[in-house]
Amino acid sequence: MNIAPRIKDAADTAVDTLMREIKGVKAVVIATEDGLELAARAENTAQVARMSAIASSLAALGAVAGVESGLGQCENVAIETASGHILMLQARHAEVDLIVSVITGKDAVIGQVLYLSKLATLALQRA
Amino acid sequence: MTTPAAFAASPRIRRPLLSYSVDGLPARDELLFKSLVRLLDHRTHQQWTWQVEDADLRVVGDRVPATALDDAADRPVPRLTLGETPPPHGPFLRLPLHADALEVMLNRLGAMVVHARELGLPGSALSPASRDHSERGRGAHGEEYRLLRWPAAALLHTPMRMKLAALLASRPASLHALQQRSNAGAQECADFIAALEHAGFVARTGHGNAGTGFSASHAPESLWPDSQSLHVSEASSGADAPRTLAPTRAVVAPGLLARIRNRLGLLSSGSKA
Amino acid sequence: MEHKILFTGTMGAGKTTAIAAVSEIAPVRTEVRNSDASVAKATTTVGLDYGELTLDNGEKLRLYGTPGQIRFDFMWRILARGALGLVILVDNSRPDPLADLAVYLDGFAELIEKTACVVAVGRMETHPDPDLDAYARRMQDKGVMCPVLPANVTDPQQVVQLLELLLIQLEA
Repeated sequence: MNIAPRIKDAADTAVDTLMREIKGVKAVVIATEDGLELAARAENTAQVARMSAIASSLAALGAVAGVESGLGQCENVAIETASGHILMLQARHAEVDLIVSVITGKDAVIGQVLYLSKLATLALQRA
Repeated sequence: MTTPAAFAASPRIRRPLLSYSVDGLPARDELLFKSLVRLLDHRTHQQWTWQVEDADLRVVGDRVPATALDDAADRPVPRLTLGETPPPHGPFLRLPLHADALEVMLNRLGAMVVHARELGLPGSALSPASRDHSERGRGAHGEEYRLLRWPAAALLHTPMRMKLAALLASRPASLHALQQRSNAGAQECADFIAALEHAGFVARTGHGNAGTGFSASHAPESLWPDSQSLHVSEASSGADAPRTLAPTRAVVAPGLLARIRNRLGLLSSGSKA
Repeated sequence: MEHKILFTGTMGAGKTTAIAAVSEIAPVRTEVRNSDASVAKATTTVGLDYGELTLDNGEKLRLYGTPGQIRFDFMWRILARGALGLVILVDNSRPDPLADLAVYLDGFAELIEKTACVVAVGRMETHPDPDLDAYARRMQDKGVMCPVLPANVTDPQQVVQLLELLLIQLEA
């Protein structure tokens, strides 16, 4: 993976920020759009072992959905589960497209998750 | 005559079909021998038919000398001597024949031939050309062939051969079944199987399970669907045959494969819809 | 009733190409930029490729291409559900094509067992080794019995032949 060190640093920073600031966060994973992990932290590693690849597939399918529905570019994919949420956002850096996945429990506030995640994604895009 | 229950005549039971030839017996004895073999047919473990030469079993009179041919390492065909004087070695039955003795001898020699075949011994391999005659007869009786390995490309030089190999790849099949499913000619199938056997890519599996002679095919030949109404189902088998060799297959909707083939056929002819 | 056939194989083996060769619609692709420097390919499939053929009764035969990398094996399982059969495309120019093949024979073992499979080896004209015998022997070792043949999937006729070999096995 040929990712510039400053982008890798920015990814590490984004992970730190989100893990610190989001109430109810369980894991944050930043991966390349083809499913290779760039930076990640989790309550337990089992949660994120496959997340990079899964996020890649979901983001790609999200892109297809956006195109097929005529609604344009997919910005994020949101999944609600029995005990929490998974949010996957596209981070389109000039050099590389990344996917930021944020996994939270039921106690998270969706609005806050979305807001903070988008902020972090924008920062990543400008790295 | 009593009929052993295990071999009660039934269209579904397919015993191995073996052949015998007769040499050097006085005409009357030869006739009697053949009649006796026919009479014993419902009791013998294999089904015996007479043929002129290149048979699985050679029946000879005691005046017929052993030839170099008999002892050649590449043709150890069993030789049964009938007469008054037993040969130095080998199976022997004294004339006049007794039905029980002949039955026991035929079963014993038949088992040897079948076993030799299963082991793929050279003696049991007749030359491909001469085997064609017996193969066609055998094929109809359900002796099946199983692919051991995808064959060398050199053997698959025609589209039909590729098709036959693909058919065999999915599960064991008799010559008859291969013919039906592929619409290839009998000779073409026989030649191909002979070539595969010669190269070691195929083995015979005519016995399914514990030598009872049951075939391992899913459905009796007579129920085989034509190519327009395809229905593959593990439950559709009419035979009681134990399916020891065939894997569990998913069910394919009737007609689907034909439709797909039609659509691909249109592609082949260049008219992509 | 879902009718589908899967195409799998390593990156660059030609899954997307094979589907495009026979699909009546322009294939739906989920290709993204390849970040793996060890493979000289610009893009890679991360979700699935999708093409289709309409049968004469209006039903569709769906052609799915899976991602090739093993990290996407969850997609293999999803896509394998209810498939009629599998075409494995191997690229003979890669360092160890037999090992590549083994990955898919293992990854799709259940599907292969229940349905049918065809192994198509690409780039054999320029890379003759391993030869087809080696493939056949490797498959024999793994207890898989299916056709293996050379194929150039840019040629629609050859892709049709692969599908035909799949159908022959399903009929038996």
